[in-house]
Amino acid sequence: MIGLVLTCVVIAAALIAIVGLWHRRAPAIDALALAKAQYEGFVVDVERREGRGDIDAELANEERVEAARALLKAEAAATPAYSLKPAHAAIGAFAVAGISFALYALYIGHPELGDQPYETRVVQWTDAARRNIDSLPPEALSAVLHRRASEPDNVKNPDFWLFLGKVDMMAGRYYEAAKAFDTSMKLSPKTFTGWSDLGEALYFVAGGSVGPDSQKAFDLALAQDPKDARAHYYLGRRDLDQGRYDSARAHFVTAKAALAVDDIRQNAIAEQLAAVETAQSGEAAARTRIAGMVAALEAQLTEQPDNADGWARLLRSYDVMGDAAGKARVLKEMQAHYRDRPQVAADIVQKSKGAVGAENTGGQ
Amino acid sequence: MNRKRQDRVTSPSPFMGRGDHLRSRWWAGPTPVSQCLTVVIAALAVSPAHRSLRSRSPLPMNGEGERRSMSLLAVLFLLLLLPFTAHADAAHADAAHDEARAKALYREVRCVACQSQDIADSDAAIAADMRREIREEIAQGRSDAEIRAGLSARYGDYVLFRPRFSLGNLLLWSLPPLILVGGIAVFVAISRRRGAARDYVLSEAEEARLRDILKNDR
Amino acid sequence: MTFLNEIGVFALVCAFVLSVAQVALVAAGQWKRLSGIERYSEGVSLAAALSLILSFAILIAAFVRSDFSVVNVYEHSHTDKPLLYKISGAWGSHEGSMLLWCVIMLSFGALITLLGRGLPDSLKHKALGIQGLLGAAFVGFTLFSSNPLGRLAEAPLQGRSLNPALQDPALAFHPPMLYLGYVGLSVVFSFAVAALIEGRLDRAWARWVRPWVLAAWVCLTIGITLGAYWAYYELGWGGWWAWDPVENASFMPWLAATALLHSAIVMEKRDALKAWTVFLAILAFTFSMMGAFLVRSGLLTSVHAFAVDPQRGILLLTILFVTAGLGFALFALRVPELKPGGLFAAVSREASLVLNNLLLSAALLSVFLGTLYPLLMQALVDKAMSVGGPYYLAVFGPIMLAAIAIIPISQLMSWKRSDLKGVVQRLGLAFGVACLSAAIGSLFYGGAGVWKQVTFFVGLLAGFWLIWGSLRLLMERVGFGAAAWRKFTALPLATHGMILAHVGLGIFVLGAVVEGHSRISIQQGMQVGDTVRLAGYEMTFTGTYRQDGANYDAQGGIFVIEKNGRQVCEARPQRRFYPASGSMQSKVWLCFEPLNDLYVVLSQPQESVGGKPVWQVRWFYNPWVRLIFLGPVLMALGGVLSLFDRRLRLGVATKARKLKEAV
Repeated sequence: MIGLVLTCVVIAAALIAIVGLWHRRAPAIDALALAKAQYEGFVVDVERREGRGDIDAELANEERVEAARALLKAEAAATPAYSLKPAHAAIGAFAVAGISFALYALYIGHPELGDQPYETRVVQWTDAARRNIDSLPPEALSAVLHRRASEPDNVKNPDFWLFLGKVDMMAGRYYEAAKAFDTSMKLSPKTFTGWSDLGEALYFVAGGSVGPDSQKAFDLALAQDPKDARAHYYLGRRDLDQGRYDSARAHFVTAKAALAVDDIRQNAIAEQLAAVETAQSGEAAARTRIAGMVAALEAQLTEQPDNADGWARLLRSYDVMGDAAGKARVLKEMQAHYRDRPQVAADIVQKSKGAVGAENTGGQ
Repeated sequence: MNRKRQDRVTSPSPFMGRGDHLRSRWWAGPTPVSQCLTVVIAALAVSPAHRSLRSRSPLPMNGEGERRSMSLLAVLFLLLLLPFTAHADAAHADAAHDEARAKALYREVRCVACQSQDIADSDAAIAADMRREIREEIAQGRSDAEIRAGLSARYGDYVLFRPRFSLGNLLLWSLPPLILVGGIAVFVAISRRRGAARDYVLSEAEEARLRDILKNDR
Repeated sequence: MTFLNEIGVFALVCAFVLSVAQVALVAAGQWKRLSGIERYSEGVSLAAALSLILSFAILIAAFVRSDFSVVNVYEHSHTDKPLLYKISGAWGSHEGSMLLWCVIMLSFGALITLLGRGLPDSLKHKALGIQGLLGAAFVGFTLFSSNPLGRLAEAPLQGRSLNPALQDPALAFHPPMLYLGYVGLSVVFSFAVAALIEGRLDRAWARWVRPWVLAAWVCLTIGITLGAYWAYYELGWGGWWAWDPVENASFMPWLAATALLHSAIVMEKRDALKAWTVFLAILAFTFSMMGAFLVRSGLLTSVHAFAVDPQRGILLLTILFVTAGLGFALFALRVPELKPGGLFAAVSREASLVLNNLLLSAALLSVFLGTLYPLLMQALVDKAMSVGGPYYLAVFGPIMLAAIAIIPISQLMSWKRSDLKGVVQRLGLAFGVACLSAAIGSLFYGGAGVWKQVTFFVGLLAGFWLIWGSLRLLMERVGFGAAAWRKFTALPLATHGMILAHVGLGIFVLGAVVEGHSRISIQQGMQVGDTVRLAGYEMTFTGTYRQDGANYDAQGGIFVIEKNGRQVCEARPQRRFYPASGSMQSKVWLCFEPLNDLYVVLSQPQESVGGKPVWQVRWFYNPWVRLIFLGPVLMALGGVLSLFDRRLRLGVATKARKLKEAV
């Protein structure tokens, strides 16, 4: 704090000194002398240009006259220069410095906040990590570990990279985590145990979905340990997203069984299990509703078969429900009805193929 | 599939191709209109009638050198007209013409999902859709104006980079030329009104004072 | 514990207080009893500038040291960024760029003091007072509403990085150049207002102001070109200018400065157009401030815009209205007192420059309308509309075409009264050669359709006309004889500069016309081994590669481009993944053919059924595109040459020498 105040005082003094020094170094120029010098310089230049043929005599004369008038005007306006008394100058200087201090200290500044350059902080974190590794937030620990990654002890040590990856995961640096797990795996492909960690990291890198690479990692994890809760959990989530509810439930149940009863991750699994139930029952309800609508539509078509739009909708409904046999049956009935008008039948089939609202879209 | 793309892939060089096409047109002979134009200009360049024109022209014609340079100019003009004569009849409503129209339209249409980009430059999906829409409409034989009107009806005026001529856009279109015309008018008016030049002669008294100042301390 | 950041804040406060003191001293000096006290403003301007430079240096240090206890560093930096972009991050944000703006503004104030020893004291001090006023307004705004060194008690663990698209050398230097231009015009503004207060508007004033205009114009030209180049090769859309509102915001001051540059010549040589020149001087800086406002107002969405809350925008708008209002009000008050200057005929160099100014103003107005009209319509009648390339082509294009058409004629005209017939005759050959060049160009690059062909020819003609017309002037001045070299070197630098700048403009026009007219592109999904053809070139996708960058991981494709069976170049475009911001960035590959660019961009690869991924490749053939960037460089060089002309240096050198003899 004292250092800060002293530095600020020095800066203020230096700035005021600059003002004083400049004032002293650049003595007041007699305005008339300057105007005269300017006039003479100007006339010399005009003559030079006239001599070279850049301007004609008339223009040269105009410029000369104008310069002369400026000189006359300057002479008329010339006033004696005023000089500041030292006491007044000092008051002014103190006023400027004082206002600056007041503005800084009372309004803008945070004199209590020191610098926190990153390097210094990393050194502090390293010390803290030596004392108690759990006291550090994962981001800080990650920074410390990354600094030490090039040390000879660590660079070829698969366990170090495995640990670094886990820390990076906690710090939310999924891409670095995936890279660290990958490094660890490459260092000792035979003894690598972090397949499900790698899969999880890749899951997050892909923005929350199981891609081919994370799928492979999870598969390897399950090959290593068929009860790997993490792999089951993410595979379950994938199945849930894709509507394979039974498989999803199986994954979650396996994961649940693999974990201790009081494990904190049990909550997440329970949540997902509930989500499976909700989604499944929701879909069942939708199915029932569609089936009801389909039955009504079919009944209507049996009574009034001359309804091209109705046939198309019915065909599409069977498609949505994935009932191939039902669709084939309806198709046969429809074609039987439109036996003598094949063009209409073809149109219906065509129409039934488009998804709802898909008329305006489509790929390039 | 995209016609433009196929054209580009199959022809070894669009420039080369266009040039060949052009040259063949050129030698095969231009259309009547452009032919007439060329003949008239050629006649003007050499005929005695043109001499009388020239004597009335603002350029003073004194000497053989001038005349030669004028004929040179005329020949140059002829040369520069050649590309046009070659192309005057190429503008049929054929594929190439449609292609050019479509490309010009792409430049006028904003990709609604992008940041101030036209659909020609954007590789967003919506831009591709809009490009296809425009192609289809051209294929259906609609005019540019109809296509523009259709686009602005569907997506709003926002989609057109060239705002329409309408009452609301009156200022946008008319102000720049108006300011130019007005500026010239004002300038002419000022220079007419201002009769007297500023005098550039120092008066006796001024001369005396000037001498006085310069003599001081020298 | 060190307190560097807090020292920076204190220095910023000092700069603000000193700027206020600078204004106060000049104002006090107008009072008879204290007349002469304003001389202290000179030293104060130096101190204020130094203080602010110290503050800026400390901000850069904070970025270099990744001190996340500074909010600005936390939000716009990251420890993984390369050093250059850490430094350029210092002006990559709204706060930092405001500080840079202020640093340049106060430095220019100090330059008035340092270079202005030949100026009459009363004019110099008034200019310092105005410059101090502008400085106080902008430093105050920065300090109180956008403190670049604002602090956080708990420094976050990691910074939030910078948009990877902004991590580019061209963009690192684009804002400083642009700001040098924008803020350079503030000196011109200060001199104009000072001259209005002083009642002194004469040739000498024009001569003092012209170097500032020139310097600002050169910086603006380079800054805009860098921005266009960045947009060209970083954004990967193949174009270089989109008439984006933020681009226009930098283009408008340039147009105003260009007009000012030419009208100041008339004022200097002929003592005419005084009111107009002063008006332009005020207008040019007003447009600079408007640019600064538009970028920060939150009104625009643009790749270049800062996301900023509207409150700051309103503050900036207030500064804009107050300063510009002050300038224009003073102008309206003082203009009736101006004595008319030198007379000239309707056919004369002066008249042609007046026409040039009118055309540039109309062009400026079209850009202004095109930029603000959609905003106004949105605000007033809630109607969304767009104004883009086709509008400018239809309105701005013809106006600029006319402006270009008169340049060679204007160059050959004499002052006061000229002979149009004679000038036209002297240019006959140049016009003929220009026509021939344009016709040949049309043959090679022409397209389908009469209208396109005509516009293309006219565009080419404009470019060649400028080039050959300017060279004609050079030829007249220099000739071909034995004395040619001696005459060439004896030619005033300003003339060299003018010719070079106009040739540069012609080269730019050629590039823009050919590129805009004949650019072609192809977009195709490619697998390794595929070949596509474009404009006589053949491109084969030969393989892919990976690369670990400083703070990104890149995936790239290798493409061999051949022409007539001969390999022209190997293109290695990339897609870079920046894990710190989690974003992807395409890195364009440019193959330099002499004038033309082959420009390859890679998009996301897609897995295909066959197992080999399909890469979407966009390939542009941009003919003559180099000229678009070469032209403005020549223009800027021309400006620099003019800047070193004896006559402009006169203000410093000759007068200082004379002064020593006199005092």
